[in-house]
Amino acid sequence: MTNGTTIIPSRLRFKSAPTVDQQVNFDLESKENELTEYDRIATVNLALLFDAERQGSTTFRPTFKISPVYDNAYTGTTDYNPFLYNLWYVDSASSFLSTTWRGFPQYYEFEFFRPNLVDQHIPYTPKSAYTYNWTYYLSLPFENNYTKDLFWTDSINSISWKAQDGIPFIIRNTTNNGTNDISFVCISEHNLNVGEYVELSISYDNNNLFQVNTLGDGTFGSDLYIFNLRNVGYTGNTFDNDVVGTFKKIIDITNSGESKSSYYIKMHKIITNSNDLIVTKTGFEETPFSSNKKFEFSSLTPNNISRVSQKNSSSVYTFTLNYDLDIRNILDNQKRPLNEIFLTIINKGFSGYFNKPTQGTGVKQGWQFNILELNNLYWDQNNQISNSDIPYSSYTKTNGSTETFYYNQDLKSGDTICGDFCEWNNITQEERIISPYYHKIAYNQDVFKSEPSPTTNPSGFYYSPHIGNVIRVFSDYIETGELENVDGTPSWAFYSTQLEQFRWRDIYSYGFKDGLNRGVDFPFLNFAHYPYQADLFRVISDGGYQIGGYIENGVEYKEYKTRGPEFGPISGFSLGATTLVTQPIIDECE
Amino acid sequence: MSVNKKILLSGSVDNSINIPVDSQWELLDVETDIALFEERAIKELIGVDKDFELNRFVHADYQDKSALNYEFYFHEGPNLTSESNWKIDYRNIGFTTQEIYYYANSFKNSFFKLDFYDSPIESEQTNYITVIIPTQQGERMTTQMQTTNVLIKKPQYILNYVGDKEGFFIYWLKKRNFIDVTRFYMTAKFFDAKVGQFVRMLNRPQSSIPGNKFNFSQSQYLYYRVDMDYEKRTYMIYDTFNVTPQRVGGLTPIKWYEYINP
Repeated sequence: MTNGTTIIPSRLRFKSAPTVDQQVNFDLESKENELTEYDRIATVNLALLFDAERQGSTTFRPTFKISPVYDNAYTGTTDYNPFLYNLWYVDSASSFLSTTWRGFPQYYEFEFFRPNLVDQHIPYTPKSAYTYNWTYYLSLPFENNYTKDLFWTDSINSISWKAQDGIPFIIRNTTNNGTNDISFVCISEHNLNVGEYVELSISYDNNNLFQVNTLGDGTFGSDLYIFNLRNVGYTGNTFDNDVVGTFKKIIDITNSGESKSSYYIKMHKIITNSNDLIVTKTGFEETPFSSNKKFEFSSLTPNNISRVSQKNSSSVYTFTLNYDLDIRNILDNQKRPLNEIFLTIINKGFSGYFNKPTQGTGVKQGWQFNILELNNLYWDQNNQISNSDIPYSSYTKTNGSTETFYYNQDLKSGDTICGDFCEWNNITQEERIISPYYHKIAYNQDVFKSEPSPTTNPSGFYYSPHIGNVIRVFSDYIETGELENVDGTPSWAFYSTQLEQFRWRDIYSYGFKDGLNRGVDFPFLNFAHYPYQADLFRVISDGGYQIGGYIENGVEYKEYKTRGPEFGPISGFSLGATTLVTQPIIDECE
Repeated sequence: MSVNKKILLSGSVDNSINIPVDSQWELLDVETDIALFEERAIKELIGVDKDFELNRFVHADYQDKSALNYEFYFHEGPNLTSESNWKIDYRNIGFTTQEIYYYANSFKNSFFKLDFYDSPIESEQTNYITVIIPTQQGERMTTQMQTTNVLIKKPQYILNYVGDKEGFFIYWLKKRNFIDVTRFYMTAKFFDAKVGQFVRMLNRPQSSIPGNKFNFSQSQYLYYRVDMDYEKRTYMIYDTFNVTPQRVGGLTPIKWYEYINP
């Protein structure tokens, strides 16, 4: 051992050296360092500890409070006795004479909760009370569908395109303040600013990049839907009136490849089964709209039985999840950490009033830009593009007449369903909803004739199935980082080769709100987050609304007008057709 | 230091001694160890977060049905030897037809109280859950009040998801890491607001007790067993009076009989 020390006996140290005892001194020393006081003492701060647990938790227990709002708008006739005997009758006196009873279905055909009825139609199971009419799921946005076929028409113009092509427009040549403009009237909000560029699906002289000159046509709100190019004297018919096409937004023309927006349908994945959500009526809350009830006199009903009719209800419902939702490692459609979960509500219509299928589907699907006029051709039963993927089933009953009733089957965890039409831009790192996703249901005209004559495009009801609940918020600012600092960039950062930098938006911590009040601050307890969302669930009819009325011979006549819901400046309309609906007569006979 | 001195005695052979060379070394990443220790120490000091969230447990389906059926029998009669002296009738415990029909305070403030224990042995048990079934719920029966036939409440309950649902759901801990009980033992009492007293109930009438009607096995006569299924969030109730437990509450109602004190 090199470190060994050799002891030479004293007698050998030199000649005639004496033999003596020898001693060697060595120390058994050790060095010990105590931890510094800073390391040994930890101050337990409850607030910090709570925040650390809060930020680290990925468990969510979401709650939704939903107020269904609907207009039970369409009257109809039926030969099926269980339906016939339970209508809200209109003009019962005339019906009594004509024996053709017209009326509205009862409120419970639209409600989330279906009460126990003795109507001889379907056997009632209390466990299914909340799932006869609608089914409820949690869903997450998980991918983008760029190639979804879309279609838009206003009965005069029409355009078919794929989602990735951008936003459709119709060209209108105008003059503003003496200058000639080419106006592009978009079917939804264009999200453009003056000075930005658009890439058109049509080209002029092999050029399809143009700078936005002005917005709007001078009317209120039109700047959101109309953008204008300066007409510098374009010839030919490229920019003729009524030419349709699509455009994509470009923020920076010097970096058109990276600053060009992409367009897609946001796809949702269902993550629960139909019984995984607990639905209950709220005990002490109702919508502000009153419940319309009336007494149906026995002499003015087809079966001579008096009862109370109710046209609509004002119930409010809460939805909670049976089990915990762990969002660890779940990414959204932009491959970012999940920041929003959705309550997805789908019409089931087990009683069979709705959803007569054509081409294999009962529910029609579309986007808000497709809801712009009564009986828009987009929703025609023969238009396959508006078909949804929701499967249906049926059963047949005989009571007064033999009818086949259709209903939508439940979805399962793992199924996918379309969502909103969206725009994403890599430079701004922002997703924008261009047009929300809608379903349309219509009465089965075999069972309940709401239309005066057979049609493949009956009036119906629209609803938006997805109700969002934001669980995290991305920052208002854009964070950037250089390539050498790749360690510090999150996985969802976009690397711009042109700008030579990563770009991303941070995720705000739970409990933090910025100057714009953006952020989430919902309760954290039991080591779980409790996000809460209160919202409306609107079932929008093509509808009728009262425009006036008069009284003749003591009978009140209400005058109704039909119209569609209004979304945006080029949707919405009114028709002159009127329907006279009378209140029930109360006379001496009663 | 004198204790560290070593004396080498001279001898006839060479001696050698190895002296270790001083070296100093440290554990790598001490800070991480300290942080882990700190985390562990804090957890020991202030405890770990516990999950007190509740789940809604429902009565497990049977033959595609979900209703939970209870029948409460009250005693009226001269003796405890005949089961027919126990009837599903509030009037047997002292309420009048008028009090029941008009929901007198004494009637509407009365209730059944179901207690869920973790053990049928009285000296070891803890009461974890209590379910109240109000008298406003329940089925009705026809009776005559003065000269008129009227419908009055009777102590028979068909609880379900809708309608009479008070007492149908059991709200109990979602997770088992705090209190892990999968089996409860249910007893029943009736609070008689007319006299302000609780009346104990048995799962069999006293007439079935052989010999002394007041001397019986409490664990056998006082309880029904309630099994919780945390996975499906359901519960099932069993009659464990006999060796082979029999599911009750569905096709066979859960029967409770008033206990008459000596």
